[in-house]
Amino acid sequence: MLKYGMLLATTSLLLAGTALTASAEELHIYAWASELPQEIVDDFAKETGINVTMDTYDSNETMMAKLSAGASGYDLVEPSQYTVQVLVKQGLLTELDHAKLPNLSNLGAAFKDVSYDPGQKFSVPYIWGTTGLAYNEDCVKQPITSWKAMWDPQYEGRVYMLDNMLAAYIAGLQVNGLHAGTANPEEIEKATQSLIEQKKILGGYNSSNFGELVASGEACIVQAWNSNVTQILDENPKVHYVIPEEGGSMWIDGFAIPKNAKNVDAAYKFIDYIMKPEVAAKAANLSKSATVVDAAKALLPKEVAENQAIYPPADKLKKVDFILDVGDAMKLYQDGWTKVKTAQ
Amino acid sequence: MRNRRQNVITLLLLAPSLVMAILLLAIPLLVVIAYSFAGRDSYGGVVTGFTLESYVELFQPAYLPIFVNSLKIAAMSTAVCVLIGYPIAYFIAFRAGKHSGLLLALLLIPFWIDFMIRMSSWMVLMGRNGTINGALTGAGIIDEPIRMIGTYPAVMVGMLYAFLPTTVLPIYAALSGINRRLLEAADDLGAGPVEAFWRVTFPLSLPGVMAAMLFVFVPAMGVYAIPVLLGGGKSIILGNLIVQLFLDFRNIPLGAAVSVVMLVLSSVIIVFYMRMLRRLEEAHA
Repeated sequence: MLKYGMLLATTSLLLAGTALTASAEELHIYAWASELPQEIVDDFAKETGINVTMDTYDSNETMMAKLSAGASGYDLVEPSQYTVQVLVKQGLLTELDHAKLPNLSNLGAAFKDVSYDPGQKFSVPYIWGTTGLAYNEDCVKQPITSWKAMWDPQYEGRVYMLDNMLAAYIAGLQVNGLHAGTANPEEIEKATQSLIEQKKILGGYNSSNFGELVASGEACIVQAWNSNVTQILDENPKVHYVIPEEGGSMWIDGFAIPKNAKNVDAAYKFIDYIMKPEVAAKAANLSKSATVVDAAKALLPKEVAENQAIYPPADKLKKVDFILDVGDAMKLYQDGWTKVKTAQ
Repeated sequence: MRNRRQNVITLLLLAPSLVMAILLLAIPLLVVIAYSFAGRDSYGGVVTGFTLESYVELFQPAYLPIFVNSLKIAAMSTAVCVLIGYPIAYFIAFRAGKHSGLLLALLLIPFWIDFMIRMSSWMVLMGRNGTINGALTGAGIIDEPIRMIGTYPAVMVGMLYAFLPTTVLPIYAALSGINRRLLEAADDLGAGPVEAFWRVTFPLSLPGVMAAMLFVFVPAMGVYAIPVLLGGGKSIILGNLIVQLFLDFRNIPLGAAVSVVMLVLSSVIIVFYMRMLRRLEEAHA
């Protein structure tokens, strides 16, 4: 028995040893897929000598699950607005020391004191965008203006929804004339019924390569986050992005440091780095998404700065919903989503 | 004395794999079981303690369709795999002659490629502008591309492709072990090829068939990628439910409870099956 004990002890020592040998400064980033360009990460690594690794996710919930499960190993995460609220309530984020972020002053006025994180205590906005739909004019003959098109049987089998509970409910609620992010049980139930009904004509749920689906014509219409399709819009003039007249939604993704992060200094350095106008501009240009740094917007090429899929016209932005943490109503969404997913 | 020394040596040789099995299999399994009895707060945190909440929630009507659907898809996949795998195994065992080694190797080569890549390739093959539709429209067989991705048959194709090798191998093993003289005897006694197959070959290959069915049925219930990639995520099974509960809903206790139920379910099936298999083998002996 003693032998096994010793073996176990030596094995764990060996394992611990490998974890301790890392010498250079490191940074482990966990960010939204296709939002943080690899080139920016490489530039930062070159400039600072920090060893950076990046993993990506396509839903806030996946990231939250990893953080709440304990030691995730990540030093920097990129939550959306309501996710910041949930993570703060769970005590999973580090309160930011603004003295370490001199470039924070570059933040645009609209993003300086956001409702979900007053005073930027836990997160620093990075980019913003909208949730709407994209269609391919090869099979959609008249321009689409409403979510209702995603319920239209003439597109049967060629409509894809985001495989993301809260995103799907934006369409489910708004198609009923309701607001996304509601906590009202009857409204959520109504949306659930609409989403179940929609399932008959769906090709599927997809939140990873929906841009390719609509570009290739596999799908006629896909529900979409604008930042994931802006690149495709450039390459394929037949694909159009629309914020539906019912409103659509706006989101802000920003950087935050998990409570158990090991390389906190490197994380601060990265946040500060990406707030430099020229870096923010390069990131926005590469990812084709809207920057929160005003001085960076001025540096953008015209085709990005004037792209309506990236910077929607003001009248559209007036109508968008902004999803905040729904608290206990989350359970209603989850039960509803399970019903949607299991409906035949 | 010598015996004891041999035992010690055996134990020492086994130690690395034992440690691995305990660290990587037994402990995680116990952790999952412990989680399934834990409570949870509304923000997805796990509250340690003992409660049956998750198991009670699991038996709500909302989750029942997923269990039924999983069993259906697993049963259908098993049937399809055995129906297609048996003739292949038969051909390799009885008709391929000196090429049988090569055929077996060809069957196994796809295993060298990552599972996700193989499944993504099927998305390319079955896409609207994919290879299959391209060939069919090019040959003038169809005018409009057929929709394949996001349908039930596409899921079955994925399952068949994923599990065919694990079906063919045990059936092949059973078939190649059959004493050929028994077939000659059947012939001498006036049985035609069909009768000889049903009365001699098939019964003797049954243990292989049953093993193959088990190798398909149990993992098929937990497959995650195939329903998502080829089925469009519309018809979810237990594997998808577990991912949804752990990652999307951050409901670790409920996700753990589903895993435990699935573990019990497959264990029961395996035990029941092994018993039947043993009875079958005894009957032949």
